[in-house]
Amino acid sequence: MSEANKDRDTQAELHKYLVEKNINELFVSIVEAILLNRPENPIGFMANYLFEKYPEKTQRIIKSQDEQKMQSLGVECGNTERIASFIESDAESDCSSVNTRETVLTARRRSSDCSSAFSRESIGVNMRQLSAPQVPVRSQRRKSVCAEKITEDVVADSELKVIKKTEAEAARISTILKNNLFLSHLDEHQTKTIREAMFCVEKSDGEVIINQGDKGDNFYCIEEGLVHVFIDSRDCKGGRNKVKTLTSGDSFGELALMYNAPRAATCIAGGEVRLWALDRVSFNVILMKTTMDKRKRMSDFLKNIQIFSQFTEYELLTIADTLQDEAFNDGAVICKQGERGDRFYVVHQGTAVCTKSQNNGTSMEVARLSPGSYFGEIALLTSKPRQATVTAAGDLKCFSVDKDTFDRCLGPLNDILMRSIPPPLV
Amino acid sequence: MAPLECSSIADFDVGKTLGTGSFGRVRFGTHTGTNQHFAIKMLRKRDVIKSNQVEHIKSEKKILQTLSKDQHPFIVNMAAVFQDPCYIYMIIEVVIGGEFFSYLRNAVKFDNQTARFYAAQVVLIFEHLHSMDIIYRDLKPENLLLDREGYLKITDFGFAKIVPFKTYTLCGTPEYIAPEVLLQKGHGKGVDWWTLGILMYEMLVGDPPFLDADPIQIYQQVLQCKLRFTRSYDQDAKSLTKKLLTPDLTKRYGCLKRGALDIKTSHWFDDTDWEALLKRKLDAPIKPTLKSNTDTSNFEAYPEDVEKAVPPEFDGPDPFADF
Repeated sequence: MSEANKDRDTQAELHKYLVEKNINELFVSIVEAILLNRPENPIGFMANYLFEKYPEKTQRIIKSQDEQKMQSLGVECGNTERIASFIESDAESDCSSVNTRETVLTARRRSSDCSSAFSRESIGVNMRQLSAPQVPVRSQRRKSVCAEKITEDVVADSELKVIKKTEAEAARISTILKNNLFLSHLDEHQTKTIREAMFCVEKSDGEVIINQGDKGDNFYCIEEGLVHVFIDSRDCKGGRNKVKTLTSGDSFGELALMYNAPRAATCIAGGEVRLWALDRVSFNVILMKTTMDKRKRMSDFLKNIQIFSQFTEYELLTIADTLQDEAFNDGAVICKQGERGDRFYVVHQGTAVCTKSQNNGTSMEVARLSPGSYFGEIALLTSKPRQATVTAAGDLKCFSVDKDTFDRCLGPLNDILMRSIPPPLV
Repeated sequence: MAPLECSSIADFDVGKTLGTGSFGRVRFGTHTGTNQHFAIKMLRKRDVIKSNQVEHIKSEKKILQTLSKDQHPFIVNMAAVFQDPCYIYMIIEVVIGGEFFSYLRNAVKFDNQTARFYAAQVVLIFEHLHSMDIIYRDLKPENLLLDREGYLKITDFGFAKIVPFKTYTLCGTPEYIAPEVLLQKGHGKGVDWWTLGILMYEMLVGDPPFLDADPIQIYQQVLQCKLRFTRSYDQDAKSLTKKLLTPDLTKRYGCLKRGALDIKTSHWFDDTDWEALLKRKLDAPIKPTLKSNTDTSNFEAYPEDVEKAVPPEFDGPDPFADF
């Protein structure tokens, strides 16, 4: 091919690109907006303009940016002073994650240290790396996020799904849920309800499970098979890069349980895959229902307790929120006669036995406590020694709160009880 | 600011864009009948309906109306609200000093006194809102404005809600969302105190404590809640920040028996004269430069809107019929 032909081909290719991507129109609209507004800082204005007008397309740039910075800028600039200034740590942190964070911080701050948020330097980088423009993230206004509202009526009316699973399947799902940071706080009952609501999804080799950029709906646990995770490549050519492969016991897509955000990656089945899925609305309904039920149950328990009878609904709910779950095995001693007590307990499941020691050294059973009964309430008032020993008879579950927590959240119980006593007349 | 008699956008000379949001923008406007200046929040009904935010907008209107009766010095007042086929208009007091966000980003971070001056005002704002059982849920530099004297005004009540005890809908801004919101176990007034902790940190460090390009990574950091402070972070500020960024709600300052008092009496605020602050008698650390009361140069230039308004589509009755 002659030199002239080659040139012509390149020309044609460039022209085709300009037409295909509508570059001309894009620039005309930018110049138009600039002329209309005549901003002091035209570069900042243009960047804002693009972010405003093409939120979807610019979002990916923001995402890609940090990785880019970590790979090139952050490391290259080696801003040790910044990193050194983060010497004080309140917790043992994982070294690698700390480093990543510092680099992100450093890179972000670098782009804003100059008086103008859009420094010449970052534009320079921009020129060199057209594939991943460096637009300072920090000058971006952060968008709020929001889930769809689910009313308490909807929750009250909704029937929770129960989808049959084998014991082995159930156990596997429970383990996955327990290992997920966003779900590990759920109590046993909630985990069980969520597990029951999960539905089976089967995909064959090459089938797309979730698609980057699509609306997020479900969270998935892998029962069996492989799932390849891809992220769209950021260069002009398109295509995508495989970032990892997930397997049985892994889960993905948890952001979809929180709100509707575009998927950050594409997941494709590698061979036959069996998944357990859960959608956001079911998840929210389950969490709301179980939480509200539990709160209600607790405040109902509390309402019937003599010393709390003067409490307002708000105060009862506040106590309910301070109560912690505690489990005891058969024979475990929860409190011992004569010892200083600082906790109050409500029996929630099982039976507790109260015994008192006699003068002759033996102990006598004085009461059996069933669910809804309580003990140790005196500990919330004074630090008088326990009047009896309480032992678990079989597996026992209690809700409990200590005096310090109670006082912090509600004030001294004494003050609340005094409210019901009329003030002296003189 | 007195309520304004007006029912149409034609009563206003509409000027420069002061800010933009997901459903529309805020423009400078002059009421031609009285020559008073306002910020006009214009919301595209179509987009509000599409993103299921009708309830939030209604609640924003109701809350702003309630709050405007009290005229709190650090909360924007609303003078009027009306609609036409395409838009909802909220006629809001114009806060001419510009966005707090721009001042913070230009400065990168604030010194201790400056940060304290703003944090103290946020304490008073939340104390006031919470006394009316209103939780705000979206504190961030982006939602704060500076008035001509350099005092804060909080704006954007889109997520504010009257909540006597707990509510369940997840909302906020990723860097500022409290752990109990992420865990979706119900949240209350405590979320606002958490966001105050994040704001303090962002003012004093220049970045929020939990930061990543990927929201899920931010959320993981929030749940792990490992705080790292710079060497220059004031010790009293640090101890208060830790009390606010406490996942345990039975320990977080602001939501305990003493409420905001725990925060107001913390050492960081030892020298803060709360009464003088509320009466706006203290000297502000940053005073916006203004040539006139129509000088909007402290706001960044936003590209002006060229879109054609499209009326909303909906099945059944007009969701804004009773607006």
